[in-house]
Amino acid sequence: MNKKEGKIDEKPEEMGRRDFIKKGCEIAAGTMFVGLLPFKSARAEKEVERIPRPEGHPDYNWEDHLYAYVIDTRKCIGCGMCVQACRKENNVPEGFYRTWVERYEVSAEDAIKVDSPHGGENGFTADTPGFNVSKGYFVPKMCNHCSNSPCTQVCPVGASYKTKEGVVLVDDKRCVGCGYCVQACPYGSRFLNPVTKTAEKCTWCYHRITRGLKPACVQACPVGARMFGDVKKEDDPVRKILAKERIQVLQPEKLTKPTCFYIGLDKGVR
Amino acid sequence: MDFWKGAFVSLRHTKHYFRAVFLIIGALFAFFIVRAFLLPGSFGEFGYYRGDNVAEQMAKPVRFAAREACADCHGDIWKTHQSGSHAPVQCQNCHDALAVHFDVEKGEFIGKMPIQRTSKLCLRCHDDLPSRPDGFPKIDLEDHLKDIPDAHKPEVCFQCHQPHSPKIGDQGPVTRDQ
Repeated sequence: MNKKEGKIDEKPEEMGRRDFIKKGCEIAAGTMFVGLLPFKSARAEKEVERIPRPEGHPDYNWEDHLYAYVIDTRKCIGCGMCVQACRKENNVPEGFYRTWVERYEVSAEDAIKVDSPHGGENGFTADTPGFNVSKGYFVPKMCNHCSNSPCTQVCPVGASYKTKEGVVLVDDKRCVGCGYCVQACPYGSRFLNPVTKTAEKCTWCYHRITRGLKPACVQACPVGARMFGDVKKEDDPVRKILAKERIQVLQPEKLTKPTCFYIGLDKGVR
Repeated sequence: MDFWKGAFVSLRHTKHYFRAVFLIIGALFAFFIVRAFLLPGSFGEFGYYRGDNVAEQMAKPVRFAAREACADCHGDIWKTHQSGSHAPVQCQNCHDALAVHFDVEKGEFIGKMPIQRTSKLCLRCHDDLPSRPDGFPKIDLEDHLKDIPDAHKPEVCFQCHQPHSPKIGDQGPVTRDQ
């Protein structure tokens, strides 16, 4: 087929397929070059100017912080004040928990009973495990804010992400509620909010820590079992604990690299 | 001659490829343009997420005030509390978050702080559970109340202990206004 044959059916006033594609490409290329140049420079300016800051804290720079959390299970008394504080601070819907406390009761024969009535929110009362308890302890749990977080990797819309301070957050305006992240988290730290239908989780009280306060659960803990700190600050107590104490993480075999560390974990804890 | 003929034929056929390539490029343009309209402006600013969300998360309201906030108005009880053995327990644990009591920005009173005046509140921390660490003051309720009249009353603990400074002898028994 040559050029002449191709034009047999063509009416002079109409545009041929070839011309149409040619024109289309020219316009598209033109649009791109005109469009791209100012767009790029505007973006570059934006990046220099924009550092997200809480209101009233003009000096806050998220590059200067890297937060870490330490839970000392030997100190925890299982009062559940942390769970209560979390619900009140973050308006967590009834029946769901961003943090919860588990009670472990272990017999000398290694029988084990784990329970967490209402996430430990109303405290614990005496129970009957069916064996003589030779050791017992409480383990507070929450989002581990993993460095290698499986939940952010599976999000198909970029709603879940990690900030520069190491906090894993969910953008509830972007989340489509598919629940992949809920499945991906090996610690069970996420849930779908029944009201907003979006994924929700512990934020380390991002709105508090960026204003210089402690997370609500840390502030509520009466025995100092929960500690929160900034490893980029030299004299930070949490940084010292991480440097000096024998610390553990939950499910290290998952290679998620949690930044929530435990002291005094027993082998039965997962 | 055969060689040139072959070259001509192959050149003729390359036009189809060009057409396909142009179509693909056109489709890519269309994709990126549609994408640009669908994605929010700040998406990708700091990473694969909406950059504006970081500031939105920071702007959420703080409901629990700093531990010391209560001292501004309730100085007397604060002093009693700080000198007693309950000093590490923040006021807002047994009462409620400051946000239900006082609006700090407007300076407005919102409502009375709730308080649970029963032994249940005390037992949350002090009940003698096997999982509770040794060294922490644990109470075996039956043994503890064996000589106390009215042991069945829910507010029995406060007959002897002042919750703000519970050690007996440090402070008198609790009164209503405290």
